[in-house]
Amino acid sequence: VHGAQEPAPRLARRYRRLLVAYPRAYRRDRGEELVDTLLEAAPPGRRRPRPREAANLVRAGLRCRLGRPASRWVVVLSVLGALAVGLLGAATGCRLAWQTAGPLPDDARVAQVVRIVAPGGLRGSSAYRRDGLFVGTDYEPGSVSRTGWQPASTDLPSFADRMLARLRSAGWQTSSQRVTWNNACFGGWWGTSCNPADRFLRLALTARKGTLVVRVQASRVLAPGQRATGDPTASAPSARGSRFALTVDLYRGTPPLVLPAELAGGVAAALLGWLVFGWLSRRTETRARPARVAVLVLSAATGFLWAVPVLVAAVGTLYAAVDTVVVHLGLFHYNDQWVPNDLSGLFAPPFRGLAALGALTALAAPLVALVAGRPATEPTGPTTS
Amino acid sequence: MYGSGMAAMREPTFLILTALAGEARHGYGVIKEVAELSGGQVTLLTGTLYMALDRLSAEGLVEVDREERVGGRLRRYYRLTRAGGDALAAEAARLRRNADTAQARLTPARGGHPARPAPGLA
Repeated sequence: VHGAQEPAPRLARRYRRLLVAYPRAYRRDRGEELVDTLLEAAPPGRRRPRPREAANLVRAGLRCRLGRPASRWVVVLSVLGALAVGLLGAATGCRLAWQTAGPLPDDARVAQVVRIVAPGGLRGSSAYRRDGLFVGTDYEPGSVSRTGWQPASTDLPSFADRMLARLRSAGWQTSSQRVTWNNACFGGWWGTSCNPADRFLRLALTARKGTLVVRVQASRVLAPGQRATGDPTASAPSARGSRFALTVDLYRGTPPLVLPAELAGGVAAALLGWLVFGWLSRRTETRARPARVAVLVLSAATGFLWAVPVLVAAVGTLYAAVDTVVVHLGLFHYNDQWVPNDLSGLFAPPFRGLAALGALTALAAPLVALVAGRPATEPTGPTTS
Repeated sequence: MYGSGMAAMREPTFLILTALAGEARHGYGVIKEVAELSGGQVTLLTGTLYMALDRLSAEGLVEVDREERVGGRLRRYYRLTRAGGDALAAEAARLRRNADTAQARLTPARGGHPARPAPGLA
C-alpha cells in the first residue's frame, strides 16, 4: 500500500524544485496549488517531470517574474533592458580585465626590439611614448614608438622577409600572413587610387611575444625622379639615395583575461538586469500611486539616458565580433590587437555624462521601490492594520 | 478586454473560459475539461494554464471562487466574472458569425441555397 504512494512525494519534490523559476512571493501563495495540479495531471507511476512540462514550468515561472500578466510589452522591454545592461556589464568586465595588462616596455627593451627590426640602427630616430590604459577617447592601451630610416640596399619584400626571420628567431610570433602590403592597393576600402607599380612600396607587419605586440611600418622613399619598377623581384632598384622609412610601435597585447571577463560580465549583468527589471515591474504593479509613478519615471529615464551609449556599445561589439572573425580567418591583420568590445562610447566625454546619469536613475529606481513601503494590499485580501 | 471589435481570442483562452462557464473548477479540473471540450486536441500544461489564469484574472475575466484543503494541499476554484461571461459570449458570437459566413459561401458551391449576407458582417 505504501509502495504505491512512493513516487508521489518524490515527484512532488521534483516539481517543487522547478518552481524556483517563479518569484518567491508567488511560490508562497500559489506553490502548493501548482504542485497539486501538477500531481493530479501526472499519470500514475510517473517519477519525474517530462522535459516539455519542466521547460513549460520554467518558462511560465520566468514570465511570472516579470509581473503584469496581461502585458505583452513587459516581455519585450525586459529583454531589451537585459541586453542593454548586459552590454554595459560586458564593457565593464572588459575594461576591468584590461587592468591586468603589464606595463609598457622600458626604453632598453624598446631599443632591443628596434635592433631586431633594423639591425643597422634607425637614423634620424625620434621617440614617442603614450602611456596609460585607455588614453583619449578611443581604445588605446598605450604605445611606444620609434621612427627613423635606414638606407635601402634591397627591395622592400626581401627586407620584409629578413625582418620576419630575425623576429622569429628572437622568439616573436609572426608570419608572412602578418604582412600587409600597401593598403591603398590591397585593402582600398575607401576607394583610394593605387598605381600598381606602388604595390610593394609600403608594408605593415605585426608580431607578438607574450603580451607585447610590435607593429612595423616600412615604406620605400624614392629619390627624386626615381620610379618604382612594380616588380618586386626585379634587381635592386637603381636606388642611389633611396631609403626605407620605418616606424616601430610597441603595444600591450590583449590580456588573456579580457574575453572571459567580458563574457562573464555580460551574462551576469544581463541576468541581474533582467531580474531587477522583473522585480521593479512586480513592485510597481500593486503599489500606491506616487511611488509607482516615481519608479516608472526613473526607469524610463534610465532607458532614455542609456539608449545612445548602449547603441554605441552595441555597434562596437558587433564591429569587434566581425573584426575577430575576420582576423581569425586570416583575412586581415592589422595590429594583433583584439578589441572585444568598444568601450569608447561609454567612457568617453560625449556619452560619459549620459551613461553616469543613467546609472544614477537605474540605482534610484529600485531604491524608491524598496523604500516606498510594502505593496498595497490586494483588493481581495483582508485589510488589517 | 475582449470585445466584438477587438482581436480574436486565442483558442486556449477561449477553451479555458468555456470550461469555467457555468461551473467553478480548480486547476486540474480546467485541464481535464479543456481536453474534453477540444476532443483531446488541446492539452494544457500546468505552467501555461496558470499563466493564462493570472492573465485572465488581471483582465478581470476570471476570479477565485473558493479554496479547499485536499490532503493538506490548497485547491483553488476559479469562476468566470460577469466581464468574463460577456467576453466569452462576444467571442462565441464572433466565431458563430464567421462560421455562418463560411457555411453560407460554401453552400451554393455544393448545389444548395445561394449565399445570404451574414448580419453584422458588413
